[in-house]
Amino acid sequence: MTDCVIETQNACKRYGKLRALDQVSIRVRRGEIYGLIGDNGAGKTTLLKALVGHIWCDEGTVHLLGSQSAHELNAARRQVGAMIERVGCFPSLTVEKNIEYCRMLKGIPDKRKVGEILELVGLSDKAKAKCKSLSMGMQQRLGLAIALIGEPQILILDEPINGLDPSGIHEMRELLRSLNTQKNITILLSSHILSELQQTATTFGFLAKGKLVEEIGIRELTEKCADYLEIALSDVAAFAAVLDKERPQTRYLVTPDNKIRLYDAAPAYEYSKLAAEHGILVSELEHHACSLEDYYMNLKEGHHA
Amino acid sequence: MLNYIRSEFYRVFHSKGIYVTLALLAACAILINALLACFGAVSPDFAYDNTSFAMQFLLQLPLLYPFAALLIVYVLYEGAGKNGNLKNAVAFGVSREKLLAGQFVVSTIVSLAAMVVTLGVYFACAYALLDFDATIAGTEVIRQVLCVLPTAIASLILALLCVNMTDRGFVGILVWLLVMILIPEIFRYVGYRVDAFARIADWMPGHFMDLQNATELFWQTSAGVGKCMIAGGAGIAVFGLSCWLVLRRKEM
Repeated sequence: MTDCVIETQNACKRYGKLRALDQVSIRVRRGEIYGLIGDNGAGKTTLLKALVGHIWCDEGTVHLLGSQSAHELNAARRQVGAMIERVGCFPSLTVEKNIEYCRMLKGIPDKRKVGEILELVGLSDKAKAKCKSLSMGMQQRLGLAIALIGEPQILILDEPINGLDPSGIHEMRELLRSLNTQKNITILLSSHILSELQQTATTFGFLAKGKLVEEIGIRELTEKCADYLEIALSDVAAFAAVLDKERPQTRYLVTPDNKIRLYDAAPAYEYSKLAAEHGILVSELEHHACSLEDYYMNLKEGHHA
Repeated sequence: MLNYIRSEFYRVFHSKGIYVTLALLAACAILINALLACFGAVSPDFAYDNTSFAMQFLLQLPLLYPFAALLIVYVLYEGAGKNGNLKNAVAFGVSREKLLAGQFVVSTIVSLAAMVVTLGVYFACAYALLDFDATIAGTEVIRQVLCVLPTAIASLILALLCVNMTDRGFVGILVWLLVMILIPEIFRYVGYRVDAFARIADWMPGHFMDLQNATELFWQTSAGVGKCMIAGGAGIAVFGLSCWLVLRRKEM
């Protein structure tokens, strides 16, 4: 429990007949980057809103930093930086004044923090620009700056790379990684861009129709999504015997359609050469790489089935 | 809550909105007195280019202050929900009760400051541009303002309720007008037939502060002053409680 900084227990939220959250229990450990994945309307934003106090759960509980009561939960939220949906800013104030407002709101005495945060998110040259004149990408950066002021222990970000250009996405990824590794900030984020999430997150939670379908760590995901080489051969049994004898470390699987899957990093030509050396004919050779997206789509199909 | 109040003051004093509003209110104060002075200069028979008339003009509009409170609240907080600023404060761990209390403190102080500035400009212009006439003194206006103050504060709380209740500013203003103006009018008209309604209407500021049919000036009698205090206090209690009940569980 002490290691767990974000926890929901059987969180439920209904909007009329719609169950936006249905018995969702997640646990985010200190130092993790937790990626929430799901279609539109799956309940990602609802869950994040419940965590930051924008909405209340009808049933179930929410805990941040081990909080046990509503008062403790509110106090814990002072250690949380959040950016949910649109960036909350005063459009007619400049970027710098918006951050200054948040500095005062959080009761941070050091005025230099404003400049530091602007520098960190790459908004220094836009400090005097009014918020209403910012592009969507710049607004995302401002949202992150607002979330980061006060050195939070937890960051809760809803679609943080929305509207960012490719270099902005790269910078955001690097920034989130460095915040996580250097400042030990726990990050809970949702994104539709799964390839991006795969590169950033260390744990994934899959939501569908308000339910948490699966929670999986990056190591387990990597194992499940392990790349493999699929070979169709004239004699699968003979090739398996060759592998056992000459490549005993190679993990392989003989599939029901009489092919062999090799979970090894060795280049494909090495296996075709090996087969040829033993007079086994290779008729098909295909390299499979399962991405987070593939995994998600498979999971979704399984869930629907 | 103190941090929230500090940050709100920072925002208010770094935004154009309040300065533009103050400038417009001051311009109105100057314009009224300047027009009276101009008419007096053009027409020697014009009997109203004196300070008494200027004060009388203000005394005829006791509901000006509740309206001004509505204006200030809307200048300060209209669009706060839409822009997501309140979401930030809630995510920072500021409870809704503290947000409301903070908004109340900030808008009350700003409203009082705006009233002092506007009345100050009005008095200065009146005494500078118009003939002095001691029939109605400025102190009479101040006495009336003190009587109306509880109602103005109740109006301000109602405006806070309206502005936070809906992101559509126009709807909130309609609700405010309904409560402050239309309902007292309905009670007044129904009261012509049903005594109970007339008795209730007697305690509604929208009714007893209407000087058109008044037989006495409410701020000049102890009964009138008492009524102002009780009605204003009841308004503060009712609207304050409504604010707390409606907004403490408001979802964003």
